[in-house]
Amino acid sequence: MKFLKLAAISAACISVLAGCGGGDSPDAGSSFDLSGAPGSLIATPTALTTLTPAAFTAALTQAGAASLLQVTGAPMCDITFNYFQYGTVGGAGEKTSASGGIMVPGGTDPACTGPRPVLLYAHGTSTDKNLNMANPDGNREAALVAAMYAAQGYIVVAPNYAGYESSPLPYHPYLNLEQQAQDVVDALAAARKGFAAINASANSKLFVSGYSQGGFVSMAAQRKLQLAGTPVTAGAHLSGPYNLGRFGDAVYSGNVNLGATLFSPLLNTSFQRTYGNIYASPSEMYEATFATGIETLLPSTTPLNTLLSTGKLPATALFAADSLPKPAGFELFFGTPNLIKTSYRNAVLADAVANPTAPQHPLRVAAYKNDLLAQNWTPAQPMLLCGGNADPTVFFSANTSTAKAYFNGKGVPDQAVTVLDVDSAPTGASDPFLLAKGGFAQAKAAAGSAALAKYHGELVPPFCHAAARGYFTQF
Amino acid sequence: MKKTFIAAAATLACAGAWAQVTLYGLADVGITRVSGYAQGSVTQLNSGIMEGSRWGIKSEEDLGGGYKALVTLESRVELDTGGLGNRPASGNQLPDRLTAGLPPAVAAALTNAAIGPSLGVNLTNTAFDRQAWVGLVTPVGGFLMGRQYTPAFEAFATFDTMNTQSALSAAQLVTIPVGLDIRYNNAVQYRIVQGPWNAALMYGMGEGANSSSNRLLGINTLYKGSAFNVGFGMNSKKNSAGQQALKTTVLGASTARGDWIVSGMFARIQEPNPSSGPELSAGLTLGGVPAPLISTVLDRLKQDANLIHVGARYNLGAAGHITVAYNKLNDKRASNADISSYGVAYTYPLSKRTNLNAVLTRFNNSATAQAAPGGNGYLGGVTATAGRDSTSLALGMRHSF
Repeated sequence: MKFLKLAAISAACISVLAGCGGGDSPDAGSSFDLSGAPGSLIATPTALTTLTPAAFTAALTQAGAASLLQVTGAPMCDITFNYFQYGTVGGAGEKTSASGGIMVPGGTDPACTGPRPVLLYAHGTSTDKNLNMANPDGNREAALVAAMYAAQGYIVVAPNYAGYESSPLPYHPYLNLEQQAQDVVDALAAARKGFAAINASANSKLFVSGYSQGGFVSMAAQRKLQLAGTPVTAGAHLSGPYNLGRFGDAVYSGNVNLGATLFSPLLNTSFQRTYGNIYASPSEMYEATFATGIETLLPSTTPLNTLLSTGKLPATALFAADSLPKPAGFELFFGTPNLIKTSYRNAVLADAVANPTAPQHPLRVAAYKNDLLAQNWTPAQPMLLCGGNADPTVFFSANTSTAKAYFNGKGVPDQAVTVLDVDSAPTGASDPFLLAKGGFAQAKAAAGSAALAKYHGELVPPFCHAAARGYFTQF
Repeated sequence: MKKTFIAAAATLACAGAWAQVTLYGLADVGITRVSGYAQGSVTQLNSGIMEGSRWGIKSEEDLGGGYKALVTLESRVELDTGGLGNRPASGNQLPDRLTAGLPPAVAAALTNAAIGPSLGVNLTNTAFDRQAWVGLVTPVGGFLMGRQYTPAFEAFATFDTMNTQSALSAAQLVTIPVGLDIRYNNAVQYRIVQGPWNAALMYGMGEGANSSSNRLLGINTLYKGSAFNVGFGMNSKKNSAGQQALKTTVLGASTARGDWIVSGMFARIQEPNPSSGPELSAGLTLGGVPAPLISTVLDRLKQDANLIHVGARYNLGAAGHITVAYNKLNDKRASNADISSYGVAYTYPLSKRTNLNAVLTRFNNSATAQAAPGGNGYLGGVTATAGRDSTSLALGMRHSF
């Protein structure tokens, strides 16, 4: 018996050593994986800062965001913001790397200790090349996620995506369904390799969430993880453009969304890099004023306001003043100088008329290819779809409502796809989203005439996230 | 020629007391081709392939009764440029394992400001960078003061078959980060020779701001017998904050058998706190780098490694000698940046003072290592990326006077 015990101990030691495979003293210092393989953790994550609940509260107050805590609740955990880099791929499968943040809760509160659930978080559209989710300082989305989840006991893995921050990829594969899903799944795999080194103790629960572009990415990640046999516990996809093909058709038909002059070049460049057939040269698609350099314009290290004020991009004029159709209420998006040539728009429109469901035009082919509702996919894990019905940036009914109908049509039971319109009246005192709806109504009223401009970027996010966190607690 | 000059120098220098002043030097220059750099293979004229090119003055005065005064002033001279220092072909580039996974601004600051520009030899253009000391030899041993070779380096150079010459030397595996302090400033050394046995004890006061900073303690003992040599050397240094920094321990042996000399050496390199950690930390703090990130950077500069060397030299008589060697650095930290090198060196004498040298060296870098072969008097720097191997061919001429 004694011999058996010793043998078992020896075997355990050997397996520990074999598992490390690195230096002779795996505990000593950073370890590195410079292979560039997708999902590789390039170096042991490094802490940037640790904020106690008091310090985090003070930082939010100083940033004028103390009201956020009324939605998230007071921070309970210390948060250590760790930075990491991981190997992944670009839009055409090319090897690259990217960076991100791992927010690790700590402290003495029982909500912060022991094995914690993991949230994979996908950020929304950013024109800032230096965007870094590992740093909450001056990054409203990182601060929101930290306050909502990490400060309440979630380990948050928040990749910056290929094309941002440290990534050498010279473009961002924006809304490329396969790439973006792989990007964040690679980030999660890499982050998990570093968990032990940064005292992140994960339990078996994995949630995935994201807002706007990130809502699209998080749904794509939920699909990818399901197909890979490593499903999420649940997802919360917020204000995302899931129905990319139909959404694009709506924009080209003239129902232009707020922010289209930013989203359009990001998306076009992404598709051009991946498929190579969106145009022969940028001047085929873009007006001469903007065509030069447009493929490397975004994301940029120059502030967005400067890009707009120096005429690198039009603020709203996606189409020419005389381009038709020009639906009433969308006049803002037609003007001079405009971004997209009328000839290009007309070619897209002609295809939408001739081939509404079987696109031939390369831009429409690309959009439908990356449409999350065109993947013949049946979610096997529950999801929350949250948004606001008057969102001028990502249209709610075309994306969120349509997604629910689509998944229900695939046989997903009603209770497995929960839709929340925060911009709707509570169904009653027992409405599980009573607080989110009430809070949103208050915030919207307080925003007054700026409500539409703030709707997508500021008003909806905290309340959808609060609803998501509440939704996650049932699992 | 030499004697005439010495006499003239002596006459000029010493009107009163009799001292022998010697002007001496060594010129070593050749063509090198090194593969694996970011810019590809690099062909260069390099000074200091086998030994660093130099000139110097030695003064020796017999004080009688077994007492002697000694002075050595030795200046580096780069025959490729006429300058006093040199930089590696890879410039500011750092090994990937120092910068990988760090935020881009921090990686750039390390490469372009904090560490990268310090890679090289005598970048301060110090006039007598190689040696500058005065000594008193007494019947109970010698006392030397000034800038001198360290005891561990002396042991290392003795048991490295290549005597630290060329890319094939074991020393080439421990250049970035530095694994062996070659010389030390403000050093006081005591040396004693007893028959085949000699020993040295050094205390280096460095150039620190206070009496606890930058101190180096060095010791060696070497037995040089007719059948075999064996020895031990150790340097142990504190950084400017008084923390234990680089410690290098060398054990070596060699034996001569007919026309063969076979050598073996083991060196242990430990650096629990980076030697330049306090200065680097202060610079990064000024640059706005957060403290936890500075810790990460400092941690990456720590060392814990073993270096093994075996070599054999075959004496060809009038046709010179040929040497083969194998070196292996085992990085024991998680970074696991192991390097091995091997090759062959041939020296052909044209005269007693002039010879031709050819050295072929291969560097095999593990996945996280990226050492590039250099020469005795210059750094090879780093290859293009981690794991990239390199081959160095050097063809040169050396003349000493």
